[in-house]
Amino acid sequence: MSGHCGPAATRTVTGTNRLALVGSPNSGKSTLFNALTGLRTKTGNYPGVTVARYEGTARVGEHEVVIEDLPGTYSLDPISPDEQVVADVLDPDNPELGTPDAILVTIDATTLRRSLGLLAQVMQTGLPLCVVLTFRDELTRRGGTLDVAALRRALGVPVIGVTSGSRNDLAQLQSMLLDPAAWERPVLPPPTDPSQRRAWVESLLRSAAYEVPEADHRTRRIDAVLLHPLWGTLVFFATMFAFFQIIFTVAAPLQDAVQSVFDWLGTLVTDYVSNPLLAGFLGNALIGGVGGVVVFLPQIALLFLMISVLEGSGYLSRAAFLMDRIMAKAGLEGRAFVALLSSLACAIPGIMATRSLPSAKDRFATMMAAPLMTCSARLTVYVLLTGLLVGPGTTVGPFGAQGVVMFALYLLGAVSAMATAWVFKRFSSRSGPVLPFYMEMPSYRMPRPRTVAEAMWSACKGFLQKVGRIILLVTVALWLLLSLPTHSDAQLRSAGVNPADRTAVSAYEVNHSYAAGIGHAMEPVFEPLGFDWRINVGVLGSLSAREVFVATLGQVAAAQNPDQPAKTLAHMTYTDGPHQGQKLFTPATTAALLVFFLYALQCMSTIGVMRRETGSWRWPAVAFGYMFVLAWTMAFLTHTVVGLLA
Amino acid sequence: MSLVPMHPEATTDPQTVRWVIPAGTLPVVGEIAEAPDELGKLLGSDGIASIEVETQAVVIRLADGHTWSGTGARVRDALGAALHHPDRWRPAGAVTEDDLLRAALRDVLDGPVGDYIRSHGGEVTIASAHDRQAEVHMAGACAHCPAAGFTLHARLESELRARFPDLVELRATEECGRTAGPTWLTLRRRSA
Repeated sequence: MSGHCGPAATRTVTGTNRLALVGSPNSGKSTLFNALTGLRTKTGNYPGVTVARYEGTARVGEHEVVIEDLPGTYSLDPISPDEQVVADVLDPDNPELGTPDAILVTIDATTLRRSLGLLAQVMQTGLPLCVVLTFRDELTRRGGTLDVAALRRALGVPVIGVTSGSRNDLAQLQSMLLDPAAWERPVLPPPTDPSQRRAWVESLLRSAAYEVPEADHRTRRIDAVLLHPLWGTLVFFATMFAFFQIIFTVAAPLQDAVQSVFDWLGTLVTDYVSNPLLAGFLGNALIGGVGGVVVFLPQIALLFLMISVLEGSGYLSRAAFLMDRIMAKAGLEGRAFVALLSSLACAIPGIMATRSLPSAKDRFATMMAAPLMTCSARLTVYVLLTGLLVGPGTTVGPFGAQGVVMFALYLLGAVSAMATAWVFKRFSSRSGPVLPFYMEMPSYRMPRPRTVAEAMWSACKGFLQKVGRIILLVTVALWLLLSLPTHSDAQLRSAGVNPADRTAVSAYEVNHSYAAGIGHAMEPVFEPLGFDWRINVGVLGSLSAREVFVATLGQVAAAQNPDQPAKTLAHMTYTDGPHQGQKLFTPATTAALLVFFLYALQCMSTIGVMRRETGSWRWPAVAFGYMFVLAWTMAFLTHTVVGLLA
Repeated sequence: MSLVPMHPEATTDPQTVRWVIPAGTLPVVGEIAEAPDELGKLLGSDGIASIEVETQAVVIRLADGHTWSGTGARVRDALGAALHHPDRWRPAGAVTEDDLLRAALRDVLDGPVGDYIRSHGGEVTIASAHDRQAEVHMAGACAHCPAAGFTLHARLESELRARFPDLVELRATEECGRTAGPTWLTLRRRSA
C-alpha cells in the first residue's frame, strides 16, 4: 500500500471538462472508472475527512476529460462519511469542493427501482447528466426485460447501456464525454416529495416495461434450508470445516512437489557453488528463506479458489446474512460483517470497507477488530506451525487433525474479532439507532470458471509479488544480520569449532551473528512464552509481513543444517540458556506461537492504512498496543496450559 | 393515499409536455374543457393553453409566457391531485364509449406492437370501433400471413383489452380493400 497522501488540491484545468461518477455500491462504477481512465489515475483525500478521492483522465481522441470516482452511495441524504462526500461534491453551494461540469450515474439494471431513487436526487442538482446502465446482460440472463429507448424518453436524459468488456458500448460513451452541454435535459426535474417520487419511479418502470424476476424457485427452496437459523448455521460450519480439511489434504502433495523443487535447487547450490558467501546467500536466504514462503503457494491458491467458488455460487452472501444475526448480538450491523469478511483475505481492504459504516463508533470498533480475522498472510505461518504441532497422519475421529486445528484457529480469530468489537462498542458511548442495511441475495448458480481463475490468479500474483518485494528484501536484510560478523579460522578454532566442518561452522556463525544479538536482547520479553532468540528474530521480522516469520525459520534451519533444512525445524533445540539441548518446538511453544500470531498486529501495512483511515496515530497505536498485550497474555496462558497437559 | 404513477415526457414543442399515466385512469379522451380544482383553475386562467387526454397520457400545453421550468412543478402538483377525481374531468365535446375504444386502439397501433408490425412490412389500420367491438385491416406483409391471427389475438387484442377492459371482440376484416404491393421490402418505423 502506498502510504499517506496529503490532501489533493482540486485543480480545474480550463477547457477540460470535469465529470463526476455517481452510483450505488456494486453498480459497476469503479469498473467503468477503470475502463474509462485506464491507468491514468491518482489518489488523494478529501479535505477534512479520511475518504480517499480517486481522479483519472480519460482520453477521447485529442481531448482529455477529468473523471472523479465518487464513493458508492444509496442516496444523497448522507448517513456515512462516504455519502457525505458525494453530497458535498454535488452541492454547488459547497465552496470547498469544485462542482463537476457534468455527472455520469451508473445504474444497475437489476436493481432499477432502488437506483432510480438515487437518480432522482442527483437530477435535482440540475447539472448535465448521463445514465450509464450496467448489468443488462445479467438482467437478460435472469429473464428480465427493460426497454432502454423508453427509459431514455421517460427520463429525458441520455441513457447508455454498457456491457462490461464491450468496446463498442464504451466508445459510444466516450464520444459523449466531450460535450456534456449538448446532453438532453429533462423537461422538469423529478419531484422532491417522497410519495410523488415513488409515483414517478413507478411510472418510469411501467413505461420502460421493466421486469426483473424474483429469485427462482430452486433458489428459494435451497434458501429454505441454507438460511434456516439452525440448519443454515450447521451447514455453514460444516462448509467451513470441510474448507480447512481440503486446504491440508489437497494442498499437501502440491506443497511437497514445490518443496522438492527447492530441495533440488539446494543440492545444486551445495554441489556447484564454491564461494561460501554466495552459497550461503543462495542456499539460506533465497532457497531456505524466500523459497520457504513460496512453498505455500498451493494453499494460497486453494484458499482463494474456494472463496471465489463460494462467492460465485452465491453462498457467501448467505453466510454474511447468517452471520449478521450473530453480529447483531455483538452490537454490530451487517456493514461491519462485510468489512470483517474482506479481512479474511487481508485486513487492509477490510479496514477500507469500514468507510461505509455510518457511525464513527461502529467504524472504530470494526477497525480494531478487523486485524484479528485470519488473513491470508497468517495462513503460511499457521500451516508451518500446525505441521510442527500435529503430524499429517494424526486424526481427530475421521478428520485430519491439521485441518481441525486450522478450523479452530480461524474460528478463534473470528470469535475474538467479534468480542473485540463488542468491547470497543461497549466502552465507547451510547450507540445510535440501527440503520437499514441492504444486501443483495443473488440466485444460486455455477461459478464462472473464468472469474474463479481470475480470482486465483490475482491472489497468487499478489502473493508472489509480495514474496518478490518486501519478503525478499527483509529476508536478505535478515540474512546479512544472521551471517555477520564473519569469523576467521583462528577465531573458530579458539571457540572449539573445526573450520573444516561446514555444518558446525555455519551453526556457530548463526549463533554468534548480529541477529542472534538482537534475538537475545528480546529474550526477557518472550522467554515466558518459550521463544528462543531465533523465534524472536522471526517475530521481529514478521512486522514487515507475517510470511517473513516462515522465511526466517527457513533460513535459520538451512544455515544450521544445509543438507536437510525441511526436517531440521522439527528437531531444532535451544542453543543456550537454561533449556539448552531441549527440543525448541514443543507443543507448548508451538501452540503459544500460533496464538501469538493469531492476536498480534504483526503487519506494518495494516498500521499504515489505519493511520490513513483515522487520520491520526492514536488508533493504530491503540490497536498495536492492545493486540500485543492480548497476544502475549493469551500466548503465555496457552504455553502454561499446554505445558501442563503435555 | 398513494399517488397515480406519472412522469413527464418532452415533445417537439417546448410548451407541450406529455404526462404519461396508466391506461384507464381517466374515463375521457380528447380535448378537456373542465378539470378539477387547481388544474381547472390553471386551465381557466392563462397558465395552461390546452389539455388533451390520450389513453395513456395527458398532453398539456402551457400558454405563451409560461415555461415548464417556471410553472412545471405547480402543474405537476395540480395534475397529481386532479387524477384522483377522474369523474370531474369534462371533455370539450361529447365523448362516447366508441371514442374511448377508438383512442385505445389508436394508442396500441402507435405503440410498440404497431412498431413491431411495421418493422417487417405489416400494415394495420382501424376499420371500425363501435359497441365495444373493433375491426382492423391487416395489409402489407400481414395479408395472407399465417401468423396474422396470432398477432391479432396474442398481441393486439391483449394490449387493447389492457386499455379498454370492456372489449367484446377484435376482428380483422377479410377484404383489406386494396391489394398489397411488394411491401415486404419496406421497413418503415415510426420515429420515436
